[in-house]
Amino acid sequence: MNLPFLEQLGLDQTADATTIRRAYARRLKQVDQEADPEAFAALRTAYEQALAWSEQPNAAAEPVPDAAEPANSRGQSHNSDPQPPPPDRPLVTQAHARFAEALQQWPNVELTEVLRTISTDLHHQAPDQHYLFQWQLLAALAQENAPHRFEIFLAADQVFHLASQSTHAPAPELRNWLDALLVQREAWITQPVGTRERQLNLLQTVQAGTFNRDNAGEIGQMLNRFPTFSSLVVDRDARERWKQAAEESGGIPDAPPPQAFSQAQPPGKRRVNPAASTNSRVIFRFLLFLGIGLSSVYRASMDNHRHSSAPEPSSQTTAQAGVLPTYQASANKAGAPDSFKTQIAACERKLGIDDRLLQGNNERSATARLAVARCIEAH
Amino acid sequence: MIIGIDLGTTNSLVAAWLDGKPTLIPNALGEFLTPSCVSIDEDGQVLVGRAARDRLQTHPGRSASVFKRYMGSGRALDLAGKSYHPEELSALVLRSLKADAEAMLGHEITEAIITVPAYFSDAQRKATRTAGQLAGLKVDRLLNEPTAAALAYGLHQAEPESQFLVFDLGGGTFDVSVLQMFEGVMEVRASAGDNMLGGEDFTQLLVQGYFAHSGVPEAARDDASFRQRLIARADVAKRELAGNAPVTIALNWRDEEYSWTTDATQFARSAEALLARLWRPVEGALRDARIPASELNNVVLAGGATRMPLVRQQATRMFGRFPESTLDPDHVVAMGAAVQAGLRMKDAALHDIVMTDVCPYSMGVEVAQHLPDGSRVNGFYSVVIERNTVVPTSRVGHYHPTGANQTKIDLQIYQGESRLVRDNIKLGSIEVPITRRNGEGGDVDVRFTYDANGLLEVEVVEIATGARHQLVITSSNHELSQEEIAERLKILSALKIHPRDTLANRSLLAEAERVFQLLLGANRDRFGQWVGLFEQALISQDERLITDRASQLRRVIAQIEANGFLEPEPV
Repeated sequence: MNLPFLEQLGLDQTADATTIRRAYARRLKQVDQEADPEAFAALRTAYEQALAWSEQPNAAAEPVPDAAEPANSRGQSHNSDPQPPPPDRPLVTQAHARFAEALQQWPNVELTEVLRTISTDLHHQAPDQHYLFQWQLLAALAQENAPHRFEIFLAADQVFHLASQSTHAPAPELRNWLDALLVQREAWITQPVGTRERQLNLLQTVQAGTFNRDNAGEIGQMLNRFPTFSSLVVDRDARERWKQAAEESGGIPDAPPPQAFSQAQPPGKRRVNPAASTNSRVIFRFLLFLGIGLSSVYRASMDNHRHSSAPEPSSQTTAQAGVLPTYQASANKAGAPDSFKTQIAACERKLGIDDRLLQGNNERSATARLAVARCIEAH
Repeated sequence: MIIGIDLGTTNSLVAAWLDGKPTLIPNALGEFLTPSCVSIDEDGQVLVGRAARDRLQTHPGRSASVFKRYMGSGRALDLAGKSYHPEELSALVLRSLKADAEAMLGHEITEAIITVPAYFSDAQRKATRTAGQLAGLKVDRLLNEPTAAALAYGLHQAEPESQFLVFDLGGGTFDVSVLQMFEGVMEVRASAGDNMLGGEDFTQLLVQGYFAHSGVPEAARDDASFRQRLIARADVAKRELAGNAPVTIALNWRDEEYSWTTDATQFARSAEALLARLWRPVEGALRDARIPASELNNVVLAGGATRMPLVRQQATRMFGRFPESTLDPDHVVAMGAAVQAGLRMKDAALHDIVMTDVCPYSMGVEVAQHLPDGSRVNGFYSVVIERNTVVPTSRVGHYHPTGANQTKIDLQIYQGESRLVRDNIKLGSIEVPITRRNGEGGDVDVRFTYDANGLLEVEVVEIATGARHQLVITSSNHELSQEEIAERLKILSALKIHPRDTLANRSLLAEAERVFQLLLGANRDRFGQWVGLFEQALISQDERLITDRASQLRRVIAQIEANGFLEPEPV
């Protein structure tokens, strides 16, 4: 059976991007956009659906066995869903390295100014890559293991104007995370200054492991009400430690975890919107890789700085840093276990992708990385 | 016949689709660029264009410019003791352009396509349409300026398939559009912009620099006439600043000269913040279009401010290539408006061309969000129409009331990209009665319909009852009502417009008055005599004498502008 949007364009399933565009152009010339907006909207919808269909790797009659096959006859057009940008871009990496270096000087450095300078420089050198830098940094923040997340968040908010950025997010999950963060921050800043300072101090005691049990109620409330926002100060392990300690001392309400990346819509608002495509989900996972790699860049930079602090838990996430060669050095420094590398290797073998392709800087490589990301996600 | 009008912050142009191509129409002075300035002379007659621009310096209290920046803001400007809305002043400019078109085409014109910055808000668009109405023009279509530029450019394209970016820096606004052309379809993929960034801001930098470094007394800052002279000089200077050559701004204030010398490097440094603001829209448009900068076939410049070497340099740096400049950036938008006029008139030469545009910003309503512990925070933005959706379009958002026994929903409508409504632009609000008991019922569908002119309509349907509320947004009290428009129309028609056939002489006189102010001592006296001779001729109404003396005066002015002084000559 033919697909309805192809039918509407007078095409069948042998159509490709070029024939779809041609069919659309021919019909568009017969529609009066202003006099008949409905006909125009219908045509436009069919066209967009058909284009999206043509760009899906396995939409055609002969389904591609696995996305590992990077050569994709339908994917020629750049209209396709955003390809994950090649991650090994030296300028972006340099920018992260510069920022990580500045973090080492903290608190003797004005993070906002540093970030602004780095952002401006990157704009000048490579406007295309600024977006990547920004979202990688945010993905690192979302990971709960980069140091000084709170300070970085404040700086990033100043420089990137985060409230107007969430709709630019490369994936709905990252957008939801940022939205939750912004909602909670809004609620948080409506409180009196004294309360805010006190709450931040309390959260810092949780992170440092020096919290006073008498404050458990207040801390619990804070973690309950502003879980995502709090997670900028308190990382996962510190929260777990606190929870354990609090439970031992009795009866603390269970704090919900911070905004999971999967929570689709905030409650209280339902939207008639097409669901997020799986494609963007994969890209998000991919960005997370980068984020994870990055947080280890930042973490490594901090490790040199404060060895005395509480032992860094070797959470699974730090291990993943080995994915990308650019971040390999820092990952080694952070002592990444091999379990994740093994996983990658397994997927590479399964998909028949070799290391060199994975590390390349072209579309083929990007597709390959996507496929590996998808494969790892499946496990 | 539909004409195309580029109603600019600094200059305006009119063009028509003639003999299968866009044709610019000259004004009474034979020029294509009519300065967007209005002045009312001592006889209560309205002057538009060059004469009004010259009179900004000699009669600042009776003249107005840059009013496009206040379109739709509700702000009024004082002119010769009366208050005018920016819509009215724009209407006077439009009327003058209409008269120019009628003079050239030989028949009455009642319909026009007017261009607006892509990033113009709903209120600004409505204000522009009102201005057209006040000028006696039915606005057939509001066309986005970068789209117009692209239309003009696209016609010159030999390549059947290409994608390009329009970089449109006008006097007061900045727009970026990314377009794709295929099979005769010109598709705007994405637009972005900054409504408060334009050439005038660069001029202001030089004005501030001059005040800070020339040693001119503080009191000069409050001298409106001096300020206008400085602005006019700075306007020229910003286009001269290139390479290593220093540029000097020297002006007289109370018979003494104060000067300040600057160079391109210094200018670039002071303009850093402005130049940085060019990035965000470029980045946003490319990202939304999903076309990387490296895959653009071309970058097209539009808007007079792209003549500035500093801006060209920045654009070259941004895209790693020299931008296209085969079409005059001052003309390209008006030419595109004429192409659109041709399209609207279904001209045979354009039968195979079709254009689609987008809405450049998101539109939505305010919503409350829940915190994880169930408490509620207000002030968030829920998008109904996403930015860069192809228009015309119609989208629905589904919402439900927050209170258990709410009796009405007060929908606040916003435009913008921020998650927080306080950072967005409010378009208006609508109150809808609902039926809700104990937390049941009262859900509504909110439909936004955005037409090809960039104007928004909102419809709310209560799902349970099917009650329908067709709503016209009465924007935040800045918009003129139909009654107000009628009344304003009456006032405007009562204004005497300077007759077109004597406009050239009137403009020359205004220019002479401006030049007179620039001169000192003997030069001023000598020049005064030339002006006196011309005025005598005007009074005599002797056509030949007027023509002779006018050309004499023009020669003298040219001499002053070239040398800065006037040679003694027997009068």
